[in-house]
Amino acid sequence: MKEFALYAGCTTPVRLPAYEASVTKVLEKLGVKLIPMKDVNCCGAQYIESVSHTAFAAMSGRILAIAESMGRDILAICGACSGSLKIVKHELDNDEKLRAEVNALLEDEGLKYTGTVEVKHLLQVFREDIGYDAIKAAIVKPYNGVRLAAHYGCHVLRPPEIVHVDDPENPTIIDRIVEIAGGVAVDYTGKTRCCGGPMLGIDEELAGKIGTDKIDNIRAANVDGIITACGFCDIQLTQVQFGDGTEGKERIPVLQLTQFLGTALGIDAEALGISLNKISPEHILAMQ
Amino acid sequence: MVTTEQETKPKAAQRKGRKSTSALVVGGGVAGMQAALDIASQGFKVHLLEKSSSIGGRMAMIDKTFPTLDCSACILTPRLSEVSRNSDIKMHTYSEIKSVDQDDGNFKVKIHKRARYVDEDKCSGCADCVTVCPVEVPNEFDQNLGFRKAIYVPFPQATPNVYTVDKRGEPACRATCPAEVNAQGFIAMMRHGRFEEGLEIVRRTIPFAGVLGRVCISFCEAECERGMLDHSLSIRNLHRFLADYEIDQGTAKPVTPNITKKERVAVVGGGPAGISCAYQLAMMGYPVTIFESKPKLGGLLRYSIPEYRLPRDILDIEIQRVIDLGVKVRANTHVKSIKGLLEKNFKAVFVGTGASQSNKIGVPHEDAEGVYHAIDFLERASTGQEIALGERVAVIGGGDAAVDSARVAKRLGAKDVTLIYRRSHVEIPAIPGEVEDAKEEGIKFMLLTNPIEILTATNHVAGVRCVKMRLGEPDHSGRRRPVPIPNSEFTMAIDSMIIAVGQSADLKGVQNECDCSEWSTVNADPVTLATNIPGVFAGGDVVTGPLTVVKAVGHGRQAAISIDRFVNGVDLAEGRHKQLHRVQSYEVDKSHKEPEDRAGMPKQSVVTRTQNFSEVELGFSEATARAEAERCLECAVCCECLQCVAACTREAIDHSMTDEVFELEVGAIILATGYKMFDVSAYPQFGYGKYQNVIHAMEYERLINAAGPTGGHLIRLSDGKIPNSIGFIQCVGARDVQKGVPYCSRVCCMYGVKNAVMAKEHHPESSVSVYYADIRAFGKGFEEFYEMAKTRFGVKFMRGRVAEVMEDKNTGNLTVRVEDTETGELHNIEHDLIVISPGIQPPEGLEDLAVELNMSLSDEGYVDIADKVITPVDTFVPGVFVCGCADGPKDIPDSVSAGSAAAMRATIILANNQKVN
Amino acid sequence: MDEAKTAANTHVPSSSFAKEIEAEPGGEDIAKCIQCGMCTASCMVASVTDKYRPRKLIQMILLGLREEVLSSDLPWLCMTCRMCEERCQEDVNLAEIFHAVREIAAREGHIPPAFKNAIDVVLKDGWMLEDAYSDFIEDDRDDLGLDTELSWNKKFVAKLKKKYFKGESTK
Repeated sequence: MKEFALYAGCTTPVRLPAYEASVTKVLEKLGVKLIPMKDVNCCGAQYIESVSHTAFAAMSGRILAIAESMGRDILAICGACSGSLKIVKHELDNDEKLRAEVNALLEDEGLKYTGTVEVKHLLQVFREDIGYDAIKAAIVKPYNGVRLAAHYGCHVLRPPEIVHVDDPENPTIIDRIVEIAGGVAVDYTGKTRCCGGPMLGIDEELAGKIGTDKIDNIRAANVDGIITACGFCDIQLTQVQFGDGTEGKERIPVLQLTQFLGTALGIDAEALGISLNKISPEHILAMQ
Repeated sequence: MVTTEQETKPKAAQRKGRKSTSALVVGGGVAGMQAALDIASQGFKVHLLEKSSSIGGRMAMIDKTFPTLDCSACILTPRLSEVSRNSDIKMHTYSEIKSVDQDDGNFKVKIHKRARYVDEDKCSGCADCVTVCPVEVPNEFDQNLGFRKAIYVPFPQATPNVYTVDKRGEPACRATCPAEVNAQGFIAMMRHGRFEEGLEIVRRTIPFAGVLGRVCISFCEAECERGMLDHSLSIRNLHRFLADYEIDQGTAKPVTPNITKKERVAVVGGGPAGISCAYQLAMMGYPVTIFESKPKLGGLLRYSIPEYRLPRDILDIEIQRVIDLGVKVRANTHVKSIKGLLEKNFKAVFVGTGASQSNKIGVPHEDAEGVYHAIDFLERASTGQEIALGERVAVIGGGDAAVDSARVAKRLGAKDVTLIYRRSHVEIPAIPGEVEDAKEEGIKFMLLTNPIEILTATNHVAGVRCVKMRLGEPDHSGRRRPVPIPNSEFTMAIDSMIIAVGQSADLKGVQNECDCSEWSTVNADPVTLATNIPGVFAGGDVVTGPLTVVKAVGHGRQAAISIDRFVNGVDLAEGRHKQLHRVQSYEVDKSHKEPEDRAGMPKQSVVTRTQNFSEVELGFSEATARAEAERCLECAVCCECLQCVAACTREAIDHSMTDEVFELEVGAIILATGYKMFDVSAYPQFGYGKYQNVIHAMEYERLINAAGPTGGHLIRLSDGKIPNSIGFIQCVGARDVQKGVPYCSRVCCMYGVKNAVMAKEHHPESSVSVYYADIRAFGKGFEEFYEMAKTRFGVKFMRGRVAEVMEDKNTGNLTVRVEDTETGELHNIEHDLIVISPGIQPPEGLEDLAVELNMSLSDEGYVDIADKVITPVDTFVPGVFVCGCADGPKDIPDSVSAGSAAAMRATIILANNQKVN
Repeated sequence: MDEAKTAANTHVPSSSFAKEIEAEPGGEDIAKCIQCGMCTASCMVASVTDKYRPRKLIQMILLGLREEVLSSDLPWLCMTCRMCEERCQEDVNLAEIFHAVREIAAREGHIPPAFKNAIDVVLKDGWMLEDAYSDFIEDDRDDLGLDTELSWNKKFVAKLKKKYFKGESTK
C-alpha cells in the first residue's frame, strides 16, 4: 500500500474536518494510506510569504524536512499549502544559499532538508498514483447523470511549471473523475478564475463579489452542484452563497471531490461528513 | 507543360568531375515560384518540388494582399501559368525529399513522389471524374470549411491542372476481409442510393453477396473504425441488402457466358471455395468444370447451414449466376485422381474438397443409437430426412455447427435443448449474434462442462455423464485450457445427442495425392495456394482445416489468380505480397462525428421462428440501409469504387499506380518551404475549437474569398447569420515567450488590418474592432494603410491584449474581456464573430530536411542564415539558399524579393559549374 | 533572433525604484513588461473594483513612484491567483513582483492591518486558527474518527520571529 505524509494545513482541520476525513477514507479505499504529520507549523502562505520570503521558506522548509525524516512524500489537500510547499521546494532545490539558511534554522531540531521529498496535491495522487482505471474499477454506486461544475483552485493549478498538476487553462482531472463516477462534467464561463478566497481576510466585500461572479457563472450552466479539491475554495464558494443579496436564490451545494467520489465507492455518507456540509447535497446523492 | 527531356537520370552529369548546372527549388509557393522562374530565365534547368498536389502555396488561399488590397489570385494565376509553360522548369508535385547526399559540389537528391493515381500527361482537368466520385471530405484548401471529392484539384487554377486521388491506403474493413470485399466502396455507393453499382463492387471479388450477407462471420465488423467511436457498421447486413434489393426490384441483368480462352480448368469440390474459383476463372474467360460428389453444388452452404439462416433460393440464385457464366457442373461425380484430370486435358486443377468429416469426442458409446454427429445431422435436416430426436437433446460443442444443430433440434420439435461446452462463454467460437438468437429461442447453455461418458439403455442413448471444468493456463491457441474439476461429475438424462466438436478433411480423400499434413489437409503455399504438383492448386477447408466460408471464398479467388498466372507462364508469387498501407486508427478523423446507434436487424418473433425453418433475420429496409451506410467514416478517403475510371474518357486514371522514388543531381538547392500557422487552440481562453464563432485568420480568408466555401459571403459558421460586429484578436502565437514564440511574426498586424478593412468592405454597416498590443506598420504604405483603416473605413482599434473570450450559449455571441490601456478602463465587449490573427512558425518537416542537408536551424526552428547583412539568402551549407518564410516570417513582396535573390545566388554557382564543365 | 535576445538583456528598468524591485528576489522580470493590459483584463480583483489595476501598478513602479506604491494598499490586493502570470506573453511574474514590493513595504513599516493581525497570530501560535478551534469542532472531528489533538509546533515560529521580525513591523 502506497503511503503519504498528510499535511492538512490550518484551515481544513478546523473549518472543514469532513474534507480531511473523506480524503483519508477515499484514499484508503483506493489503496493509499495517509500518516498525519505531527508537530508541524503553518506553511506561511500569503501572510508570512508577503513580508519575509526567508521566514516563509523556513516555515514550508520545516514541513518538507519533517516529511523527509518520516521517509514519506507529502500529500497536501489545500491549494495554498500545496502551492507553498511546492514553490519552496523548488526554491530550496535551486538556491543553495536559501537552503543553507533554512537548514541552519532546522539544525537544533535534528531536521534537514535534502531535496528527496516530493509534494503532491490530492488531484495528482488520483491521476498518478491511483489512476483513472483503478478509480473506475472501484465504483460500486455510480451516479446517474448528475450535472456538476468543477472548480480546481488557483494555487492547485498555478504556476504550472512548478506545481505540475494539470493544464492551467483547461484542467480535466476533476471532470474526468466526475464522468468516471457517472456524472456529467459541465463546462462554464471562467472555470479557471479565482473563487476570491484569498481576499476573505483582506476585503470581505471584494471577496464576496469575486465569489458571486463564480457562482453566477456556474448557475448559468444549470448544474446540480460544485465539486472542488481545495478546502479554502470550498469554504468561500459556500459562504458567498449566504452573503448579502443571496436571499431567495437557490443555493448550489459544494461537495469535496472526495465526498462525491466516496459515496460512489460505497463509503457511508456519514463517514464522509456529508451531514456537516452547509448546503445539503441530498439531491446529488439521490442521483445514485 | 513539362519538359519532355528526361533530366531525372542525368547521365552526362554522372561523368566524373562534371558539375550539375540545374537547380532544385523546394516549395512551390510564391517565393519558390519566383526563384524557379528567375533561374530558368537565365537558361538553367530547375526542378520545382511541391509536397501538395498544386503549386501556389499560401498566396493561392489568401483573398487580398496588403497594403494595396489587390486580389491575390489575380496576381498569382498568371505566374502559375508562367511556371507551367516554362520548358526549363520541371514541376514535381505531390513529392517530397527523401534524402540528400553531397558529392563533390553536386547534390544527389532522392525524391519520393506520391502516387496521385492520375496520369499527369493524360489528364485534361475536365472534372468528369468529380461528378461520379461518391466520397466527400473536408477541403484542406478551404481550411476544412467546405468539401471536396476524393478525386480533386484543391482550387480551380491548380497547377498542374491535374486531378489527384486522395487515397490514404486500404481501409480496415477491406484489409481484414479474407475475400477482399471492398466494403468502403460498396457502402459509398449505398449512401447515394446507387445500389446497382454497389452490388457490382461486391461481385468483383465474391459471387455471394446474398449468401455471405447472411452467414459471414464478418471479420470486417470487428475491425471497423466506427467501432472506436460508437459501434461498427453492420457491413454484412448491408451487402445482404444489396442482393435482396436486386431480387425484390427484379433488376438483375441476365448473366451471359463469355468464354474466350481455350485452357480448361477443373474444380474438384463444389463448395464455397470451388464455386468462388470457378466464378473468377469464368469471368476471366476460362472454360471451367466443377466436379461435385453430391447431387447439387453448395457444399456446407447447402448441406450444413440451416435454412433459417440461409434460405436455399438465395443460394440457388447465386450459384445459378456462376453456372450462367458458362461454368459446367458434373454433379454426383467422385473424382478418383487429380493427375487423371491433368491427363484428361485440363490445364489446371483446383482442389476444394472441404473438411466435412465430423470429429468424434472419443467417449464410450459414441456409436449408440440416438447419437448424431453434426455434419450428418445437419445434412439430414437440410435434405428433409426424418430424424427422431425425442424431447431432451444435448449438443456437444461451441462452434457454429453446435449452435446450428441446437437451433435445428428445437425446430424439429425437441423441447429441451442443452448445449454443453467445455470453456466459458467468452471462448465460444460461434458467431455472437447466433448465440444470442439461440438463447432467445430457449437453448440452454451449460458452460465449463465436458461429457465423459454416454449412458445407454438397450444401446440407445439415455443420458450423459459430465464433469465440471475450470479454465487453466492459456494453451497454444491463446485460449485458456479447460481443466476438469475433481469429483464434480454428474449425469443428466437425454433422449438424443448431437456431437459438434469440429470437422476434418477426409483422410482418404482425393486431395491426398498432393503433399498433405498428417490431418490430410493440403500443404499449399499460403499466398499462391500452389500444391507440390505443378498446375494443381488447393484452397478452403481442405487446406486450412474447418474455418470460415469467407476464407474459402477468398482462397477460391486467389487460386483463380494463380491459375491464370500459371496458364500464362507468369511467376505465381511476384507482386502478390504487395499491399497498400492499412489506414490506422489515428489517421481517421472522428472528432466531428456524434455517436450513433448501429442499425438493428428486424427478426421473426421467437414464437413463430422456432416452429419452422423460414429465415430469422428479415433484412434491412432501404431507409435503414442508407442510414447505416451514412455512418461509414470513409477511412481510406478514396474507396476504389472505380467510378472515376469509367467516367474518364482519356483513360488517365490508374488505381494501380505506386509511389515512386527517383534521384536528381543538382548544383544548387533553394529552400522555399514556407510556414505553418500557429495552432491557436493552444490558447484555451480564446475558445477556438470550442466556440463555433471563433475562427482564425486563414479561415476568415476563405470565408471572404469569392472562390471559397461560402462564395465570398462573410457569415457566421454557427447559424449563417451576417455578423454585425466583428472583433480581431492580434498577437496570438507571436511575441509570446511562454508559448515558445518570442519573435514578432511581422505580417499579423498588417494582415489583421487588411482583414478588418475587408470586413467593412463586405458589411459596411458592421462594427469592426481590432485588439492589439501595438501596431507594427513599418515601411512604405503600411502606416498609411493603418491610418486609412481608421479614418476611411472606421475600423476601431483598441490597445490592449485580450485576456479571455466568453460565449453566450443562447446567441452564440462572444464577449472579449480587455483593458483599454489608453484609458485604463476594463471592458467586456460583445461581438458576433471573433477572428484570431495567429503568428507563423517554421513549417513541419523542416527539421528532417535540415538533417538531410546537414544544416543548422535557429532556436525557433527556422533556417539559419550565414550572414544576415551581407548574404541574407545564404545558409551555412554552400550551395543551399533560402527564401520566403523558411528563414523567418516575411510578407509577400519580401518573400518574392528573397526568391529572386536566392535564384541569383544559385545561378552564380550554376554558371561557374558550366564554365568548369 | 539574436538581436532580440541582446535587446532584452540590455533593456534596463526605467526608474530607480524599478531597479530596486529588480534586485529583490521575484522582482527580476519587471522590465519585460510592455503594458499590454493582459494582466488587468485577466484579474478578478480588477473586475470587481476600479481601484486595482495590476498593469497600472507595474506602470507606477516603472515610473518610479516609490512612496506612492509602498504606502498604498494596492500591492496587497493581489490574490496571487496567478491568472495574469499564466497569460502574460512577456512572462512577467506579477505575483512575485508584488511580493517583492510588499517585502520592501514591510521593511519600511507599511503593512495593512489585516495582514499584520494574521502575521501576529501565526507567529504566536504557529498556525492560523487556534482561537477558532472550539469544542464543537473537536466533537465533529471525533465523530469523523479524526485526531482531536492537532499538535501544532509553536517553538519554530518563535525562533523565526526573533530572527526575522525584530523591527516595528509586527508590534
